[in-house]
Amino acid sequence: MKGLIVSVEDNATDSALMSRIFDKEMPLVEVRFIDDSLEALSWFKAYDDVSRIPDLILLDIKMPRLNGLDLLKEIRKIELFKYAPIVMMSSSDQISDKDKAYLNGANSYLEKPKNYAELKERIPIVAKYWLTLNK
Amino acid sequence: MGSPSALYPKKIDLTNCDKEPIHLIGRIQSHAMLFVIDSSSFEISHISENVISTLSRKREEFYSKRLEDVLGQNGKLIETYIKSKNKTSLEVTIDDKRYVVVAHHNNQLVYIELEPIKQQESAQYMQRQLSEIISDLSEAVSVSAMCDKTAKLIKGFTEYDRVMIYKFDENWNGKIISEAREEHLDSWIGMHYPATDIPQQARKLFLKQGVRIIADVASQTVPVFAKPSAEDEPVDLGLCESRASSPIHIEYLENMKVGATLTAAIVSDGELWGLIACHHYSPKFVNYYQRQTVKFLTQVFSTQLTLRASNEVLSRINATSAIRASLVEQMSDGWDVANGLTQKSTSMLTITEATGGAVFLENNVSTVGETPSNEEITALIDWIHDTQIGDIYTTQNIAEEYDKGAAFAKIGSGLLCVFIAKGEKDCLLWFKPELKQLISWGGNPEKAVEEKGKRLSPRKSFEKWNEEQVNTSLPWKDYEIASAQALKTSISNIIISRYQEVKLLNDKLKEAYKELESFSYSVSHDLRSPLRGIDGFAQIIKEDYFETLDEYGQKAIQTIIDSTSKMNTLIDDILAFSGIGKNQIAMGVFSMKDLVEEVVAFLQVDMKYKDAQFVINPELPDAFGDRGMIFQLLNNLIGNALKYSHTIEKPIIEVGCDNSVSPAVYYVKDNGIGFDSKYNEKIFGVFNRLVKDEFEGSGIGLAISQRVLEKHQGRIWAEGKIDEGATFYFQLPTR
Repeated sequence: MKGLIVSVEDNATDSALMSRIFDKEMPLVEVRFIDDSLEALSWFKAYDDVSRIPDLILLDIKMPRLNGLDLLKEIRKIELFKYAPIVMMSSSDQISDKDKAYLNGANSYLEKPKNYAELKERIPIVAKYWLTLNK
Repeated sequence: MGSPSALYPKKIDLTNCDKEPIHLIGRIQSHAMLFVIDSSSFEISHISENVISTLSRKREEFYSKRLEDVLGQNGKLIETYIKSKNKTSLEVTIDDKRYVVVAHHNNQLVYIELEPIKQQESAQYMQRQLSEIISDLSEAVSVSAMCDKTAKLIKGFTEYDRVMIYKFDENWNGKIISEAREEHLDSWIGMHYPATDIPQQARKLFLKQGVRIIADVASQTVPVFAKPSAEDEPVDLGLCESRASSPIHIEYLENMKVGATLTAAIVSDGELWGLIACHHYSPKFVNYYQRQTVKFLTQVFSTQLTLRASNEVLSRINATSAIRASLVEQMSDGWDVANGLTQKSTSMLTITEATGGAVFLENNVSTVGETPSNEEITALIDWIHDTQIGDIYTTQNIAEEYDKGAAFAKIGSGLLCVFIAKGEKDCLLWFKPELKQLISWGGNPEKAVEEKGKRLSPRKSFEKWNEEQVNTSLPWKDYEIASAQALKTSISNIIISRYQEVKLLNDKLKEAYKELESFSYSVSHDLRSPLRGIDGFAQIIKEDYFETLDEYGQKAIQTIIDSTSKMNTLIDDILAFSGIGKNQIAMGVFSMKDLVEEVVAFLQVDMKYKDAQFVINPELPDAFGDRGMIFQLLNNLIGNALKYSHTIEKPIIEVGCDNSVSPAVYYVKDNGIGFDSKYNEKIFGVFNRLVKDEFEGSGIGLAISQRVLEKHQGRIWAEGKIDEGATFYFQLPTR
C-alpha cells in the first residue's frame, strides 16, 4: 500500500515546492496538502480510515487562527492520531517553540531549510525515516 | 613754651602717613578762633594763638578764666548756649565782626570755635532751596545720574571751581565718578587714587565729622596753646571744624595748585561710601551755614544711595534672571550644559562683569572669553576643592592665595567659583583680569610731578597705587555672586532632570532594542519563505527547463539563484545579530588557543586560503566568557582578516595578545587592504561596509562582534590604515 503523508501548511509556495520534491524524490508516496489549520483539524477529526493511518504528519507552526502547536495538541486528543508520527516545521529556531512542540506531543522538529537545495535534501530524509520506522 | 605738636611726627611720608595722628596736630586754620573749656568748671584750658591777638590780651590771662571774663556778654551767651539743648546756631559780634559759634563736647572738654560770618548770611540762607534739592535727587534715575546732579547742585551754590564725587572701592582705593567743574579745567572723571591718599584715620574722622574745609591751603595755620599744666597733653582737635590739615595733605594740594577745599563724607549703611570733594584754585571760605547745607545735601544723597544700592542689586539680579532663563534654555537644548553656557549666543559671562568663564563638568573644561588654559583651570579647581570650605569661593587676588595663580593673574586675578554639587568638582568659574590691565588714567597723572623738594608727589602716589593693583581685580559685586548662585541652582536642576531623562531614555532604548530584536527576528524568518520560493522555482527551472532557455535566460536563472543565496546569508547574519541580544549568556572558562584553532579549522583556511600565513601566539591566555559567542566573534574577525588580505601577495594573519595589561587584550591582525583610520568607530555600525562589493559580506559581522563584547561587558576597538592592514583588539572582563 502506498505510504501517506499529510502536510498542513498555509504557505502555498512552500507547499508547491514540497509537492514537487515528493513527486520527484518519493513518487510512490501519497501526499495530502491542507492549507488551513482549522480545516485540517476538521479533516483529522473526521478521518476514519483505520487501515490507513498517515505515516507522517507535517505541521507548520506559524499559521493564522490556529497555530501549528495548538493544532498539534488538538490532534493528539484524537484517538486515531495519539501515536501518529508528527513532525513540526518552522522557520523559527527558538528553543521555546521546540520545547512547546515536544510538550504538545510532537515526534520531531524540522527547521525549514533556507533554500531549495537543502529542502530537497532534508524533506526526503525526514519522510523516509518516519515511513521506514512506521513499517 | 613747649611745642604745640610735641607728639606730631617730624617727617610724614607715604610710609608713615597711615599712622599720622591728624587729630593731635595742635593747630587750626587761621579763619577761626578756638577756645577749649573744661566741661564742668567752664574754665579755659586752651586757646588758639589768634585769640590772643584778636582780644589783645596776654596768653596767661586766659587760662583758668571763664568765657565771660574774656568775652564779656558774649562769653555769657556762649556759656548759656553750651548748657542749653537748643541747637539753633548762635552768632556773636566781637569788635564789629560777626561770628558764628560752633561748639562740641569731647572728652570732658568743650571746644568753641568762632567762625566769621557776613551780616546778611543767615541760617535761612539756603533753606528755601532744600526741598527742591530733595525732590531733584530722588527723581534721578540712577546712582550716576544722582551723582551728577549732586555735583552740579553743590557747585551751583558753593561756587567751587571743581566739585567731584569720589567713590571708594572695597579696598579704599578711590575713583572720581562724577564731576562739575569750571569749563577751563580738565576733567578728572575716571581718575583713580590709592587707599593711602586718604588714610584710615582720615576716613574715620570723615565718618565722625561729615564736612570739612580748608579755606586757604597756602595760609599759615595757627597753633593751639594749652594752659601750662596741660602742655604735655596734646589736645584732641579731631572734631574741630577748623582743625588744620595734615602737612602731607597740604603739600599734595599745593602740588595740584589747589587753594581751598571742601570735603563731605558720603555714608551709606554706616560705611564711608565716598566723598564729595570740592577744589578751588584760590583761597575760598565757605561759612558754617553753607557747610551745614552741604552736609544736609550729602545726607539726602547718602539716604538715596542706600535705598538705590539695595534696589540696584535687586534689579540687577532681576535683570540677570532673563539672561539666566535663556541660558537654561540653551543648556536644556540637547542637555548640553557646558555647550549651552559657553558656545551659544548668550554666554555665562553675561550674568556677571567677568571677562572669562569656565564650566567644569564630568572632568571636561569648557571656556568662554579670556581664561587660563584648561590645564591651569583643572589644577585650580583641584586646589579650591582641596583647600576651601563651602560651595562658593571668591578672590580678587588669586596669586596671593594660590601658588600657581601668578601664572594667569593677568587675565584671572579675580575668581568666582561656584560648585554645583556638594563634594564634587563640577563647578562654574568666572574670571576678572588684573586691574592694572584695565585702568585708563583720566587726565595726566604726571602733570604735577617734576616739582623738586617736595616730599611727596602725586606721581609717587600713583606709582605706589599702580604697584598695589598688580594681581588684583575688581571686586565681585553682591549681584554677581547672587546671579552665579542662582545659575548654579538652575544647573543642578537641569542635571537632575537630565539624569532622569537619560534614565528614561535608557529604559526606552532597552525596550526599543528588545522590540527591534524580535522584529528583525520575525522579519528575517518571514523573508525566508518567499526567498525559498524564488530560489526553489529558479532551481526547478534550472533542473527541468534549462536546455530550452537561450544563453541569456540561463544566465538570468543563475543570477536569481546567486542573489537568493546572498540574501540568505544576509538574513543569517541579521538573525545572528538579533540572536545575540536574545540569548542568555553562558559564561565559563575556556582555552582561547583551542578556540582559535577551531575557528581556523572551521573556516577551512588550509583549503580556501592556501597562501595565508597564520601566526597564533602560543601564549594566548584562557578566557572567561560565552564560548559560543566568542566563537562567533573570532569567526568574524579571522574571517574578515582572511577576506581582506587574500588579494595581496603574502597575507599574514596574526592572532595574539597583550598580557601586560589586565584584562588581557587579544587581537587579530592582518596585512590586507586596511581601512581609513577615521572609520575606527564607524566600522562597527550595522551595514557600514567600507569596502567595495568585490569582498563578500553583509556588513553586519563587526556589529555582531561588538554586540558579543557588549554582552560580555568587554570592549572591542580597531586600528587601520589604508593598504597597511587592520588590527582588531578585544578585551573580555576578568572573572
